[in-house]
Amino acid sequence: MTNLLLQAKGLWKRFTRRDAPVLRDVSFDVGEGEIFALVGPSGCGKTTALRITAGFEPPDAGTVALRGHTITGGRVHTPAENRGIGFVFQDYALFPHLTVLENVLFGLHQRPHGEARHRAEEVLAMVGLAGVHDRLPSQLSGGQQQRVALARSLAPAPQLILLDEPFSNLDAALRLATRHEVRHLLKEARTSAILVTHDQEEAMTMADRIAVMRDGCIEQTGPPEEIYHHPRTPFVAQFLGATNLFNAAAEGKRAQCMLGHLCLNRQAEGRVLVSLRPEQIVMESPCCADGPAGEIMAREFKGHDQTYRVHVGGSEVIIQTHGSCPWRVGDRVALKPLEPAVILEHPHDGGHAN
Amino acid sequence: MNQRKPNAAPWPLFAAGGGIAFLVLLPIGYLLLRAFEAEGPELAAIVFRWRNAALLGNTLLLAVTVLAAATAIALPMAWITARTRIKGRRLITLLGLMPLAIPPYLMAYGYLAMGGSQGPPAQLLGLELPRVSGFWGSLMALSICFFPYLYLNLRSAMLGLDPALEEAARSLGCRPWQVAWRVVLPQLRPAYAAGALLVLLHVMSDFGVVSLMRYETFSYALYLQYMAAYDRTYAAWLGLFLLGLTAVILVLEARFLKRLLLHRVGSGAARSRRLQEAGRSAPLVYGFVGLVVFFSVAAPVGSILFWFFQGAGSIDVGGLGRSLWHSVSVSAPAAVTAVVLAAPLAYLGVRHPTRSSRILERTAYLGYATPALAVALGLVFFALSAAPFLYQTRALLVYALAIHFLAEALGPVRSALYQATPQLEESARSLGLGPIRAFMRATLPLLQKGLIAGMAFVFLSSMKELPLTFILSPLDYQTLAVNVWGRIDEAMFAQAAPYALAILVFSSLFVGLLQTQERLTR
Repeated sequence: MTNLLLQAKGLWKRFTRRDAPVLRDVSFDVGEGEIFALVGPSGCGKTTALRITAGFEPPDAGTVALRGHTITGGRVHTPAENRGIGFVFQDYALFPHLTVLENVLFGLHQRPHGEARHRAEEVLAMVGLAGVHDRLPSQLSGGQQQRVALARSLAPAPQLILLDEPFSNLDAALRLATRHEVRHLLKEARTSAILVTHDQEEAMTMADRIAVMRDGCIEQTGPPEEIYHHPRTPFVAQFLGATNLFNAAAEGKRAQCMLGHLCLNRQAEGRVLVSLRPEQIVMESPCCADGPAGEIMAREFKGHDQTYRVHVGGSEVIIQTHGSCPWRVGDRVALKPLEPAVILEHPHDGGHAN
Repeated sequence: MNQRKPNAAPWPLFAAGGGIAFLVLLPIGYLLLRAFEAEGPELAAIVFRWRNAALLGNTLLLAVTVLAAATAIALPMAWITARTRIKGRRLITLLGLMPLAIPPYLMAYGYLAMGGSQGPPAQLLGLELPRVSGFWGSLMALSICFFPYLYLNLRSAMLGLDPALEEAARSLGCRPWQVAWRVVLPQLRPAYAAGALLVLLHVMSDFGVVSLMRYETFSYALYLQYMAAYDRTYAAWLGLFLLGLTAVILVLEARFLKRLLLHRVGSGAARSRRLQEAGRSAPLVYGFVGLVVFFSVAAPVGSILFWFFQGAGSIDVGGLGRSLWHSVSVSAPAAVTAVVLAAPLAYLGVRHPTRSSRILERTAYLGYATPALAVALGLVFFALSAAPFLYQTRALLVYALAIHFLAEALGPVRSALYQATPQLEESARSLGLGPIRAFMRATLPLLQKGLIAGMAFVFLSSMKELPLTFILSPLDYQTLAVNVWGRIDEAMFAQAAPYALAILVFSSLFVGLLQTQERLTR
């Protein structure tokens, strides 16, 4: 990692005494210029972690340091306005009584007027909103409001921007374009960012590194490819995309399961739980394969790809193929893994192992 | 929701609505007719009098200072009850509404009866207070009476603000006081304007306080002119000035609000707000609330109670019973009439929301905004010139009260109608009932609560109403309010007390009803 910008250590938070903690010993760090994503289902505590970083909530325990200076922790609580951390809200929180330009100027009040105006115009041009300076937020489309919100938090040139589900109020088509655009803008401005989202695809396309959260804990942190291909727990494996979980009997780097012989990603002995992504399995004619054969129960054709459900040895396996794969429902096929299966840590609750 | 285009109302209903609007506008029409009976030089002499300018100055001065003082009370009260975590917050919220239960002339009574060598502080503590009166007395009584209108509006606006806006301002480098100044206050403007409108309209139409405090505004001058009786034309003109001033305020308000339509941008659910800890400022907060409660409730009510016990030995029970009966015997028919008049207007507005039916509905609110003295004077002119058989009858007073309080009846009836959807009536029709029977059997039962609430509002308002009753009541009629006013006006504080306490009972019921209605509609 490059130079460390933000470091959160051992954050705990409980809102009411009766409820379970929303954060349990959460730690993460963000490098200079890095886009970091906290991803997890709703209620996992990701927004709370973000709000603690912003200074909107105090944690019960733990510290947050910015460039090595503690801003939260112990007796220290730097007020939000003195942190130099920008925040983009889920519903944008644009000031309804101010125009677009005034909204962007809002955070520039300490600069001389001319300079502030110049900067605001520059940022608005950067997000592609040069023509709507004098409109009120209510007169803008959702996508435009989103960009004003981004411009407003970028204008004071913060070292770090926090984005709380920033794309969830946009429709699907706009969301894709905006993600790309925002990543580009952040990289261009060399601004670090923490993105909070429940959408794993958004996290993987936007972020340089991802932390997957569940029930107030971070289960795994790493670059998107690593987490996708080497999930550590069943939850992470399933949250980042469809996957097949199997119980297998391991012997060194090989294992035996209902698909027959498997390669493993590392050495192990005895009973293990493994994950194989649907696109890492291919179907073959049963005559020329050695594994057990299964029957295709269902097929979802989606154009450039399709998903098969195959019944093997009393359970169902999902397989992802390209759009022109010839197999049809009712065909008998043998299954062959293309990659080594990933051994998962045994979860507290067992997951959905076959 | 039903997205159909509003269909035009059936003509009999529309005609009924038009007739009701006519009844509301009639007194204003007669006021205009009477005022323009004067011609040429006489007219000029009436309109261009120095006295008018002085009265205008007095009225505006009072209106502006009352608004300022009410703001100074209401804003902190709203902040305390909406934004701080402090013990007894719910009680404080309620205490802020208490002045609504004290009609302005009783507030004036409480303050007037406090001073002098006979007042409670002098009698109980040996501390003789000067008697408040004139401008300062009016300012004090009116701002205490009317601050709840601002307080209620500001408080609900503060509760409705999206907390993310303040957090956004913090993350953009604003200190807490800058957030309050740059983000919170600007967003309170629409609520402030709505509350300020109510305060100003009430100040304009107040008669009880300025007459008892002897401060010459348009309405007090109008009363003096009317009683002196030799120049009714000038009285009519004073009424018109009062109307004109009210109209100016309404227009300014509409303009201001048009520019200020603030929408909440974005659709996400607002996160619930973290309340501010009062912490070290708690004593300050309690001190402020204590002062407000003392001046708005404890002092005036205490003073009235003191005088009640002073005269407790010689209460004229018969007189009290008679005037209670007189009050009831105009208020009850007024309540029924108001609801009967409100129902068609509400039905038009809810079921056939076309432009013209909305205008008809608005006239009901115009009747409420029109200063009561101007309405009373207009009706006197109407009776004298067009319907002498109505002059100084109970019927005329009932009519006046019904149109003045029409808006109070309209509110609950409207919200009840919104709950009784047209689909219910349509399904009754499809089951073979004619339009009238369908309404009677499907909609009316659901309206009952609204109709009763509307009646109760008008009844309780009429029980404490002063200027209309005062000008229009038949000669032998002495309602509670008229009795109280007459006795205070002659400084017979002990004799006024029983009547005042009777009125306080009814106006407390009014506030209680208001609270339950608000809770129901929320």
